[in-house]
Formats: sequence, structure tokens, C-alpha cells
Amino acid sequence: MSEHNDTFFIGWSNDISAGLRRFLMRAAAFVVVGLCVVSALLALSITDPARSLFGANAAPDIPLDVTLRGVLSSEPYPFLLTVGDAARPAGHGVLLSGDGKHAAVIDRAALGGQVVEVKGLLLKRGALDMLVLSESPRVLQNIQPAAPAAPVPMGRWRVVGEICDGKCGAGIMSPGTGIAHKACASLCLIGGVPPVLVLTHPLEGRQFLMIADSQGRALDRGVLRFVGMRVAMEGEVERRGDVVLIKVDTGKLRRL
Amino acid sequence: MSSYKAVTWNRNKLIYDAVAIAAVVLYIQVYRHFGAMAGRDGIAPDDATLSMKAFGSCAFVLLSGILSIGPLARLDRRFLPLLYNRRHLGVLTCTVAAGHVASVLSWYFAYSDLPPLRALLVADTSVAQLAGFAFVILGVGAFVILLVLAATSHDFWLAFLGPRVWKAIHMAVYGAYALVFGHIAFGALQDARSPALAIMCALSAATLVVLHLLAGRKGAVEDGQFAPTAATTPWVVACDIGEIREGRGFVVKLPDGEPVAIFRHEGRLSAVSNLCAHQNGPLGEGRLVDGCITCPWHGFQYRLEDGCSPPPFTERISTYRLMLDGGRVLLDPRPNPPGTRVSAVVIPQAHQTPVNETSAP
Repeated sequence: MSEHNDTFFIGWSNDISAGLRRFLMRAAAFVVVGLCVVSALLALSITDPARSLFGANAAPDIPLDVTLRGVLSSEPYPFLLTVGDAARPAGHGVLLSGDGKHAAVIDRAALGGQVVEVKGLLLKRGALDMLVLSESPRVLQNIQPAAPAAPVPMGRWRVVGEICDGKCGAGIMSPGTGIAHKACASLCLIGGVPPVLVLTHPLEGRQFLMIADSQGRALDRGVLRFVGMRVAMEGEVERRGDVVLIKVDTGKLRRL
Repeated sequence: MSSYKAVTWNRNKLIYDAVAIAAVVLYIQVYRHFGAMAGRDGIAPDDATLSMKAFGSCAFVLLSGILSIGPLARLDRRFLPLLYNRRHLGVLTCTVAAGHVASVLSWYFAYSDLPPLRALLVADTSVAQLAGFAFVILGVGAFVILLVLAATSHDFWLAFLGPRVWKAIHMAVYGAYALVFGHIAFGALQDARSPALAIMCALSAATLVVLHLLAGRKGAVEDGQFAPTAATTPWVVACDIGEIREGRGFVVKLPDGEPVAIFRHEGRLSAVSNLCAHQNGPLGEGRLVDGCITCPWHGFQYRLEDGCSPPPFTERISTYRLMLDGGRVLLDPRPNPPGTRVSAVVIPQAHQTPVNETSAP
């Protein structure tokens, strides 16, 4: 090794000059410290894409196991309009879903319009309530359903917001909105979880709208390419209890 | 250096890997620690989201680092030790990327009726639109490339495929970087409200472009000039004797572009291919150690007289004939078969004055 140059490095040789060893130690320290700094800066920069969309109640509530009573509506998606108790006013809308990325398992023909008792995990973010059913709804035989309240027309609205699934949007995932979450939301919608439109700017006190096609039916898969991003849409709006539904022609959705 | 052997660990490799692994572990831990702190919006990401962001960003940073090592080593030889074990860094990057993939699969693509891998491919296929482009597909493409590169990183594949094909395949790492960049640009960057991620991406790309341009400019000089044809066929004029420093190589390009390294050792000149049989490393930038040409990349050695690695190793490179014409060195551009013995050319006493080593760059 007499010809071994001072800074020439031979990987298989343990003979490294003191100068090169010092340089490499500094380089190693720089890499380790530099990676930690980059990591901390990136981590501290994480924000929820929907943080401003749910007003003062931006953060999802801690999910709770609850039992609710109400009139089951089956179209365009299963949701419950509460009969009213100490915790909730009458006519409060709660969307329903099943476990995972699945729809609530409900015999819609038999239970639609019935007063039922439902149990499950309540996800809540702002005004958006989603109950993940832990068991099938039970019809309350001793309570006769009132005549179904007719939807209240609210006119034609032009709105901007993000289509996401009502379950992740309600906080089962954090963040449960945004483009990074697009595939997850798409799988939820494919599985039958009700979609919602999270409004970019609250409108008449609404942070989200339930969304259906122009005939008031559940959206088809054509909507998936608009999920997770800001879209503009226009449609007839109606109120069912305190839930507002917008009926849109999905062929006229516009990305912003 | 036989055609196949398991990883030959040594102290340098162990230290290299230990530092790299420690840096990755710290990166992930730091990310999870700070990421779990509620931001100004009061909403902390869930654990799965933190994991996928931590592993994903770490893989991107590592990939940026890997692509920086080559030009850095060209610009400053003190970075050559980072090149020595770069393949281990590549495997580590692939492992970190696998952590990102596993986090995503077990969260975003789980809990549905579709198997996660199938869901990964069918959940978002919006490739006909720029806004909301299916960025997941770009990430899948990058990960497949990283997997192929990691799987073929062992010297077995290098020997099996040959250095040229192996290097061509591994240049796909640039494609992986481009795909990862697109994956981030069409994905996480679209949701980011802070400029931190955008700044990191821009710095990464700008640094790589600048380093490669600087290294390319330096390389254009160091890779040697084309040798002009001599008066006598088939010889070409390689250089003047005085241009070759004792114990060093001088690189010259043959008319067909093939680089040849001429070494000066104890008053004699010998010429061999400039391309190491291992990974096409630039032998002319190496040193003579114990009388053998030593590659600056991984330390492979070749004897001056016949281009053979000393026993028990079996690598061989082409040798070339040399001739002196006064003070000029002439070279026969026809390569001898690898391992062919060629007598070294003795430098006449009149030209023995070596170039001052201290003037070396």
C-alpha cells in the first residue's frame, strides 16, 4: 500500500487516511442530521385538506357507540331522520353505512319509512353525522311512523365543493378528503357508502350536502373521476329533515 | 470477484449500511413524532396516514440522494466512498418504498370487497385528465422499477448480464425518480397547504440537474480527447509522455469512442481499456496499488502487463499496444483480447522526468 494515495478510497481496504475519515464522518453526520431536519419540516407541514371546510368544528369528534331512533329513509341512500330525544332534535339526519368500505346492510323495501332503532359507531365532523351500523336496524313496532314529510324544495343552487364518501369525510380517516384520499373514497363509493359534497364555502349554514343524480337516485360510477377534487355543479336542492340534498346531472360536473 | 459470490461484508460496508439504516429509522421516528402533533388546524393525521407519508417522503429523499452520489463523486473524489456501496442504499430505498406501499395498501385499499392489490389498479384510472390524474399508477410504476433494480443489484446479475446491459437496466432509476416526482406532484402536492413539500421537491430536482450538469462538464474534460491518427497505420497519437504522471492513468478516446487508459509505472507505460470489467468504472481515474490498476469505484484490480485481476480473481480487460515516437506516445487502437500480455514500453532516460505530483488536481 505504499502507493496508496492519501485520499484514494479502496472499499475492501480498511486503510483510510485520517483526512478522508474525518470528511466521511462529517458527511455522515450531515446526512443524518439533514434527514432529521427535512423529516421534521415535512411532518410539521401536514395539514388536513378539509380543515377549513367544517367551520369551528373542524376536527372530527371521538367516535362513540350510540343507539338512535328514527325514520329510515332508503333513497337515494340509507339515512335516518331522528324522532327526537334528549340528545338530538327531531328530523336530524344521520347517514348510515356498514363496516369497512361497505353500504349499510338494510332491507330497504321492508324498512323504508319505518321507525327503527339502530346501533353503531357514530362518526361526527361538524354537522356531518355518519352511523356505522353494528347490527341490523330493529323496527319499533309500538311506534307508528308519521306520514313521511314531503321534501322541501329550496330552489336551484350552483355550488362548489369536493365529493367524498360520507364515512371518511366524517372522520373515520384523517384526513378523509383530498386527492391523496381519492382512491379510498372511490372504493367507499363503489362499496355503497353514501357520498357527500363538502362545500368549499358553507352555504346557508350547510357544510355538506347529500348528493344524488338529477332523478334523485344514487350516483353511478361515472362520478368517480370527480372524487377528491374541487368541482362545480348545479342542481335542484331540497331539504329532508335537516339534511339537504342536491340533485345534479353528473354529466355536467366541472372540475376546477 | 468470481462470477457468483454472496455479499462480501467488510468494515466499510458495515459502517455505510449502519449509518444509512440509522438515518432512515431516525427519519421515520422524527416524522411520526412531529406529524402526530396537532397542527394549527388541531387535526392530527391518523397513524396509517403518518406512516405512508413518512415512508413515502423518506423514499423520495433517499432516491434524490442516490442520484446525487454519482455526480458528487465526479466533482469531488472524497465522495467516492458513498459510491462504493450505493447498491445497498438502493435496496434500502426499495425497502422504505415497500413500507409506503404496505401502509397505503393496508389503509386506503383495504376494507373493501376487492383484494388490495386489485383495488390498487382499478380504484383510480383517471389517466385522461391532468387535474386529478391517477397518481397512484405513477407510484406503482416507480415501485416496480425499484423492485427490479433491487432484485438485480447483486453481482450475480452483474456478471450474468454483463456491465453494459446491467448498467443500462439500472439507468431506469432516473425513470423511477421521474415517476415518483409525478406521483408526488399529482398526489400529495395537490393537497398540501404548506409550501414545505413543494420546496423540497423543487430543491431535489434543481440539485440533481445542477450536479449532473457540473459533473457532465467536468467529465467531458476528464474522459479524454479523441486521439488523432498517426502517420503510420494503424497507430493513433495518444499523448506526450510528459502528460502522464507517475502512478496515474491518462485517458484517451479512440476514433470509435472507446476510452483507453495509459498508465505510467516505474519508468514504463502500459495501456488497458478504461472500463472496469465490474461496472465499467473509469480505471484511468484509479491508482496503482501494489503494482495493480485499482478501480476508483469498487477497488477491482488489474495487472498492468496483461489486464488480468490478480489470483484468485478472474476479471480481465483488454490491453493495447503502445509505441514511442520521440516524446509522443502512439497507441494501436485495435484492442487485444482481454487478458493478453503486452510488454510495457520503457520510457527513455531523456523523458524520465516525472510530472510534479503536487500539481495534480
